[in-house]
Amino acid sequence: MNRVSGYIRSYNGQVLLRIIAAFLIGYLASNSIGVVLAKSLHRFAGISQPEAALYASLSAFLIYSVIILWAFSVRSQKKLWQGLTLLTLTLSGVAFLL
Amino acid sequence: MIWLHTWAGLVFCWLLYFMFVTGTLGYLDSELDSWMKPELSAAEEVSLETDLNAAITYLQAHAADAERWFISPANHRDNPQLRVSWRYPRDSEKNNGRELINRGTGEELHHRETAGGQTLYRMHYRLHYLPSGWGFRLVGIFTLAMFIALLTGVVAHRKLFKDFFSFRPQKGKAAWLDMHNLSSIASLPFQLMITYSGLIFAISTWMPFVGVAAYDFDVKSLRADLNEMRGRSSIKAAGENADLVGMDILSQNIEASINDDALVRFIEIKNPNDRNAKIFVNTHLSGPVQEQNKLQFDGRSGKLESSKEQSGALQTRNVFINLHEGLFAGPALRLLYILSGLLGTLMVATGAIYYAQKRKRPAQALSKQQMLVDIVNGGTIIGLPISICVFMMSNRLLAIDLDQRADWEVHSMFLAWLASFVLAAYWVKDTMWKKLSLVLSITLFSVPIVNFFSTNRGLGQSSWQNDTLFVATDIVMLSMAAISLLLWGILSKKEQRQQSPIRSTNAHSAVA
Repeated sequence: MNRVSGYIRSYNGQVLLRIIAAFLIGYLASNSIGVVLAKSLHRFAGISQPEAALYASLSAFLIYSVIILWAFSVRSQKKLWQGLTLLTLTLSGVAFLL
Repeated sequence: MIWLHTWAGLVFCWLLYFMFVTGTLGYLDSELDSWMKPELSAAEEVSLETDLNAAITYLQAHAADAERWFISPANHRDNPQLRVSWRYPRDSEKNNGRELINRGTGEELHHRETAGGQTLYRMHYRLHYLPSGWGFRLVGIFTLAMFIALLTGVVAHRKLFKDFFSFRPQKGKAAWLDMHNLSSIASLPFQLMITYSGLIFAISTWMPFVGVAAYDFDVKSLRADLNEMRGRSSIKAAGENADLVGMDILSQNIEASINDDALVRFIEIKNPNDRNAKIFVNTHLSGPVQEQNKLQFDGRSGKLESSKEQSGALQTRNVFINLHEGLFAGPALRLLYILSGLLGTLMVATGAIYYAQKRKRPAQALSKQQMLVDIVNGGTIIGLPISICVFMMSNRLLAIDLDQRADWEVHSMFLAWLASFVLAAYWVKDTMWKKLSLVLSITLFSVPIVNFFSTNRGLGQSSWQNDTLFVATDIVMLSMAAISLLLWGILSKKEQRQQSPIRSTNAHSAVA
């Protein structure tokens, strides 16, 4: 246990944590942003359902990339995890309600 | 972890290099196809009606009961020959097929079995020797990595213009970095375009959830809506025989409905010889924005039925795809595409070399890991072009009646690549780059020679007969051979200089 927490506190462990946050949590976050985007384009902007889905899918990778860049630029690891998790959960909830 | 980082970074570099080289050659896929079928010369352009008649006669004789027919008239760089293909329903036991058609005889055109430029191009997006789907998935991940690398690269070089103009050829490691910056910045708009549009291809593989969830997980209606958007109608066969419209009427109707300067790219006939036969017509692109949609004609009367407006979202997606594939590009723009692709190749290669050089200490023996990196760097950066030359030569040298000849062309390519790795490993201690450059030069030089002795379209004859494709191929090969020979000369000189006594004292004092 000690070795694990020691590793996580080390430089490499911090990088690994950031990679997980950026690529895994970031993937979930970008998907939930995409879904909210697709649904609100359809609901509020009057774009047809397939078009809205396609527009959102087209931007999904851009959203994902921006999240990854942000994950490596934000200073505090805690802020990164909190922010990403909160974003994903909130937007998933919004997507569910929409 | 540092180990993981080093290797992950470099493996990305090597695969991206592979994607850049095969992708750049993909802008010449049809040309390479023709080069690898030296028995054939481009068909003369005739009227649409003549092409359609020859194709329909062949299809009626050989695949009358297929579900779909495809006909590509010979009128474009993409289609130097009249080509037909046919498909049966998925559960049918009959085999789909494709053939080039000789309009004179109405039969297949005979040519050697070859993998062709298409196989090389397909490696660009689905690699090779991997179970289907896996190559495509991997390529998606690498494309994302490339996109991130581009964005972070822009951030890292905020002083873009200053970096652009600094080139320090004498300064060893710095020169590699400058070359990396130069090639990236010069082609940055292209790199951003090609990478993001590459990601658009990966949406259905890696980002399917957005669309599916937007439909509340009703995959069926999502698919139906997307198909309708793409104009893919689900017209079922009636099971009742009916004659297909005459090609004279059809070709007149097609030519009346498409724009004046448009050319037919391919015609799809769904349910031929059925009461519910439908004919779809696609035109060649003249720019990244498709001006005209797929036209639908009735199969019995040949009357135009609909040409729906394309939706905005689909248009947007198609612009990305069209920009990536560059099918609309004429010779000048195609050249620009190729040059940008080459700059991208240079960007990845110089990046990988700089990465390795930066970690070296003068007058200190290479560690095992550094040696391995050097081997794979050399084996990839110089070995891949060597192996592509071998791929081209195997087309000429393998026995014409060899079983699975097309596969063996590809095997030859990868065997040659493997051999380059062995050579790189053998020479890694001192003069790998120099010797590999010489091997590359010899291989490049051999292609026109092998072509000269194995076909009647060698450089002498082809220039006499204005055989542009073959003259151009030979000239490109010879000039690249000259460039690698030059590289060999530069590296030899550098080696001599390093062996001179003054240099070695310098190195010692640097250590001290």
